[in-house]
Amino acid sequence: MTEQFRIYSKDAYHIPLSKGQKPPAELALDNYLTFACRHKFCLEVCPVYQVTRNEAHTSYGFHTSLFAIWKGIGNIEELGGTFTHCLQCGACEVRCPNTLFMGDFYKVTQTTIELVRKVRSDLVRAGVGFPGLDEVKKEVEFHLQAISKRDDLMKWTEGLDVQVGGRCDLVLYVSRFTATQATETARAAAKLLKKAGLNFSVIDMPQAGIGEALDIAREDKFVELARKDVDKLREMGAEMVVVVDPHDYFFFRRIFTRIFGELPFKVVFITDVLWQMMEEGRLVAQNEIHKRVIYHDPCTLNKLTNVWESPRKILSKIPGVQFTDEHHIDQWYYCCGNGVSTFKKVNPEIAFTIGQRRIRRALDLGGKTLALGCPHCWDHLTEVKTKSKSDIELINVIEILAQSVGV
Amino acid sequence: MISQYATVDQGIVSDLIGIVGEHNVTTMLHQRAIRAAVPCPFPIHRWEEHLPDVVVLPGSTEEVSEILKLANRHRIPIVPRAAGTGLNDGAVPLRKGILLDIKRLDQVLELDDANMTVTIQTGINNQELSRTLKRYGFWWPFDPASFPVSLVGGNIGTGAWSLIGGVSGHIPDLVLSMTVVLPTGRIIEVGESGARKIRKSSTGYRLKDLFIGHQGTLGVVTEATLDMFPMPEAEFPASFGYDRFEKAWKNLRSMSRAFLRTMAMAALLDQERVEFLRRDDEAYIALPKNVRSVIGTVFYGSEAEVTAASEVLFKLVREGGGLYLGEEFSEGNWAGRHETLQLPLHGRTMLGDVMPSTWHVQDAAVLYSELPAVREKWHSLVREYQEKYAIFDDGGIIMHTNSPYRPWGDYILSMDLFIPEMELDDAKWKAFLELDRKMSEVVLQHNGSITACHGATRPGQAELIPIELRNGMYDMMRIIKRAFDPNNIMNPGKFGLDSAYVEETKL
Repeated sequence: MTEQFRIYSKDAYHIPLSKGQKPPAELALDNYLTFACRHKFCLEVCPVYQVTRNEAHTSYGFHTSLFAIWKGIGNIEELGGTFTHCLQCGACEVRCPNTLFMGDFYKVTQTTIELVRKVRSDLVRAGVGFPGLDEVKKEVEFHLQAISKRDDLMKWTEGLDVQVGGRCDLVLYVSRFTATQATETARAAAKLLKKAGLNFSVIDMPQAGIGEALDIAREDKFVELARKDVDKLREMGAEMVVVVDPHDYFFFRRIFTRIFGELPFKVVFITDVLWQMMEEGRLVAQNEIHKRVIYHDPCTLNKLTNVWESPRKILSKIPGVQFTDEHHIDQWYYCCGNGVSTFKKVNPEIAFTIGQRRIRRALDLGGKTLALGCPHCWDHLTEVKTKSKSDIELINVIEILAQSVGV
Repeated sequence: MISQYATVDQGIVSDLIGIVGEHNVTTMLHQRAIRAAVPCPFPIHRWEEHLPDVVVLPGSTEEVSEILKLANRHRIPIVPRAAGTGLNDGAVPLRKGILLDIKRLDQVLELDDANMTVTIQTGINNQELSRTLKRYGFWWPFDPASFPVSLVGGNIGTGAWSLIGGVSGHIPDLVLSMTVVLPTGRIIEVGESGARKIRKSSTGYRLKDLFIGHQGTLGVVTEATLDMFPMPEAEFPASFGYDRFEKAWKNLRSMSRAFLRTMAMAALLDQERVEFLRRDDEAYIALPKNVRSVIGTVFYGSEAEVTAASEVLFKLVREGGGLYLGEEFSEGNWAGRHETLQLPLHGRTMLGDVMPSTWHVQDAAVLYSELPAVREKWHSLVREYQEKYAIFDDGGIIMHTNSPYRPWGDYILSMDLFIPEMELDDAKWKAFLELDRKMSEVVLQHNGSITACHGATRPGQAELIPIELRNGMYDMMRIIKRAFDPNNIMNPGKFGLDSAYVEETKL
């Protein structure tokens, strides 16, 4: 029931695809602009295509498949296996000439991620589904159960002496995944904010953070959970919300704002705040950390929300760290392999290969530590590291900073 | 007689799966549909006619060989496809059959730093190859407009041209040897010589060139040994404005005669091109009004050579009445060479409304002396068709240096035509082909060649091949095609070579 919510930025995306029916003409025009451009920069920049070498698994392939159906060639029933081959990393969007040169003026910015979500959900609505759908549904159900368990969800705050849930103009937002799977990252974030002397409150029992719902026609649930968190933050009196998980940051910045309009608070990413604290002298990286570090840009920051400077600046200021920078635009071509929502659950082997390649690139540059900005990257690459018996160290930038600051 | 082709049935699909594995064969409609088109005007109203029956992605030369043996045995058309970025329709299937997608052949096999060669599988992307060589201090000096996406195999198939060919040559010059799978499935090696890395030899016929620009009609190139260059110390782009095309054209001649060996490219933009760019390109919008023609140049080489050359260049431009357009314009123009210009909303109707379009690039090779005359006739022809059919938009002309290793002689006369594919029907498609043919006829009247790098595969151009290659050359092509490919399975219908099978050609 996407028409109830402004989930997509283009009107045509809100009209569901149905079996045996042509896609709407407005969608065909959107598809045509990618078909007709055919610079095809969306091929080599795509981490999935780099592995499968199948041009169907690219923005060109997605758009052209639908355009062909509009011309009477093909049907939506066979699209599931193709449209699951997208990480939703955003590489094709930032690399697309439609975005780069015409996006704002003509309002034809490339929106592949939304298209992929739309088609996946439409396939579910049409009763067609896609490979791995059951796994994705399980993940959503797991999240829905987990967000009601206070003992698990808020355990990460134990012993930190931080305010949880009270009114405060500054709120630290840590959602279910980071709270339960990357506890050290969440704790390091809170400790650093405290050390900087900031008065903040931690959101109590956050509900959102399940992008998978948008892939399985559960937009209603996604919006319901998002609304709860936005309402809660408003009730807390938040003027600024500091987000630790880049996926959440992407949801706030790109999706919540579309659904709810302008939010009643400013949303900032944790490393931007921490760097500001360092610049103001409120956080001092003093302990030497002897690591040869490469930084991995999370897709949700680098490609989707344009955050890439602050993690680099932080790493550059930590004494002892030998930091070799890979340019953030070069990293448009990279991903950890996890994807923003369902990819890994549907394509574990490709996800593994993409992760292996990312670690290999870091090792080729002489890195011993791959610094991460995202708990999902950390989780996935840890699995890749274990399976491939690599000895690279994986650690969040925030945790390296916490070690150097001494908290 | 013309081959009767077998249908791709489930048995053939099963055999293909036996060769490359289940994941690398697909008959799904959308997978076939996306591989029917390339980025030049495509008759989407006749899309179905160009659908291959099955798509196969081999992972080795041996697998390609087995696929070709199977196809030859059953008489099934094979169309090789690389990135599918060609600006003519060489990779568009005309007789359905098997679409052989080479993208999985994407490995660097050997880097020989002592002899400065690199051996690759032909499904590797140019930018990726460039990145790999850069890590070892070498330069892949091949720079087509499609650099970020095209594959070396596709460039070999079309006989591709490089923006910087004036200093480092084009694909025919950079490929030293190749592994080729013939239509019978036999795997052969061809090169400048029998040795894979030798750059010049007189042993035997020069057979390498048969497989460059063959558009997949003679076999499938699966591996290639390439020339690589040292990283150049200096890169220097410089652009100049002129108040008249003729002035720029004359200045181009002075630049050519200065014998500047580090001059990798000169590109002359005519008045229509500058006006077209002024519609959308911020850099051109800001140019002084009296700039009606532009020459862009770029130099590569040692710092000392490039500095000296730039001094000569600036003197020549001053004497020729040109205006230096500044560092920001020059560097931005060069840095954006792969990115800009051909976008689907740049086309306009005659009333000035946006016309969602693809573009056609007419890419004739034209002698320096003939550039003004051919240019005028092309614009005139396009105006005629614009007025008659109201679907074409003239994006202007660029004239790029075309000769390998020297910035003089002949030029690619490159015109962008915007064509709204969504409005195409048989009449409009026919009009496009007719326009294409008439533009090519003009080129032949002026002793040029129909195409410098995209390949004359589309009807309209293809029917003129026997005229351009008269006096025995086209007869030789027919004999070679039939000898190599007795069942006409390799990309059948291209270059008008079905005629080779109607009756035996004799010299």
